[in-house]
Amino acid sequence: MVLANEVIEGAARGERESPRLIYESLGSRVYRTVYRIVGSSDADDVTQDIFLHLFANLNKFRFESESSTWVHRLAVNQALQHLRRSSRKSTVPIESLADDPATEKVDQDLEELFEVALSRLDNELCIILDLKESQDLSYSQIAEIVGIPEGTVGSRLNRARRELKGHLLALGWEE
Amino acid sequence: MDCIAAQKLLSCFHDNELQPELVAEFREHIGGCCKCSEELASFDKLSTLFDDSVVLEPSAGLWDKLECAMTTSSTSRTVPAVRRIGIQSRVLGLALAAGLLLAMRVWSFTHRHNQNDHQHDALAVNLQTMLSQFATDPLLAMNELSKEYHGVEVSLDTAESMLDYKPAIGNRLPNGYQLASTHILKMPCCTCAASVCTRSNGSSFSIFEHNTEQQMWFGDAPAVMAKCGNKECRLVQMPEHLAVTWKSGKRQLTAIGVNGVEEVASLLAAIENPASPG
Repeated sequence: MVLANEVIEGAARGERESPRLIYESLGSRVYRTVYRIVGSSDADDVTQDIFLHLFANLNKFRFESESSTWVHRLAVNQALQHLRRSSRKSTVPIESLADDPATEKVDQDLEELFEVALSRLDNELCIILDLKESQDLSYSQIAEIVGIPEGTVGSRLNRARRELKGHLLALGWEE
Repeated sequence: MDCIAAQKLLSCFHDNELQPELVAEFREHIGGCCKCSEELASFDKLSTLFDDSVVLEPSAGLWDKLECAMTTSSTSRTVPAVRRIGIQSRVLGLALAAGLLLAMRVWSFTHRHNQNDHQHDALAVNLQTMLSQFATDPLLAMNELSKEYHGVEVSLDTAESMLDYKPAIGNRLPNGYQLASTHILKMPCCTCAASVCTRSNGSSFSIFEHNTEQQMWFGDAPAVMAKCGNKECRLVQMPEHLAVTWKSGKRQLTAIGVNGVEEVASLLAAIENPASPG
């Protein structure tokens, strides 16, 4: 993810084209991170909120870290905030949960099975694993985004991968 | 390099983040160790799954909506200000509502110095261990928890005299279920009743009755709030089963090792509405 500092400075100055350039550079990647955290139904809305918040706060970027890292940190925080808010509000009738996802082997193709297994990872591990595997960020970038020591990233990734593999096997994945 | 050291470095090697001076030693170990090399290969397969997964993209009209929202904001000076205040107040409201404990569990990367948090973390760790033991031996898991928290196995009458209330589980299990044992545990949060119940097929699950909701027991495991009769309950998805927690009178009940939502429904019906057939 490459985002020139001039583009950020331009957007902060109110240059008309700069927000679009920022969205084109970062939109897909931010969306993917948000999707992994909040799920498909809210991913568009949360992504929109993140960019609105980003554009309103570009003057706070100090150019001390990479812009992509800064944006990702903002995205992760906003998405987690949304998740906490919505998880306290939503209550569904228990009858609607009759197909119990915890105990049922999933008869789906591999892509769907993979998404189900990923969704069963806890948020912290899912975020770290996604930042590495989907976004190809370095350990130092991941550490900065999630606020953990760089030396901890490897052990969290070990755990994330082992747990993901466990969920996949429980769902019927044949390694 | 032995297996313990190599296992810790698997992701670093896989992601090309291993310190250069360790690479040769790591490769040498992997070359002669089936277990570690197989695990490394499984990491490669997971990466392939990521590569092959659907490329997620925002909807095509998202930029237009965003531009429209920005235009709306810029045409009215009051809108952005209200929006900013709204965001800040929501954040503040969230922080207050969620409380320190939840915040630390949901995003538990930060240092922990508070004694209570130490206790709760220890509790969370112990229960995580117990939860995994439930897949194989629930009674053993309960006994180990009992050792950890000065537990004593008691009758229901004794439990009532020790707790000043009769455990809700009492005689309210659904038909076909039996109370196998009840322990009184002195946990950091409170003194609580923990019972093991058996199904007609011999399998078991546990029910805890405590004074406050224990969200940190389950960390960030996927959860959903569900309405069951007139009770709101929180269902937590564990690898092989469900946990469910709900408020019952002045206390909180938590069942661990439940086989699906139908069992949750029958359990809640029997405990909360003992006149029902069960």
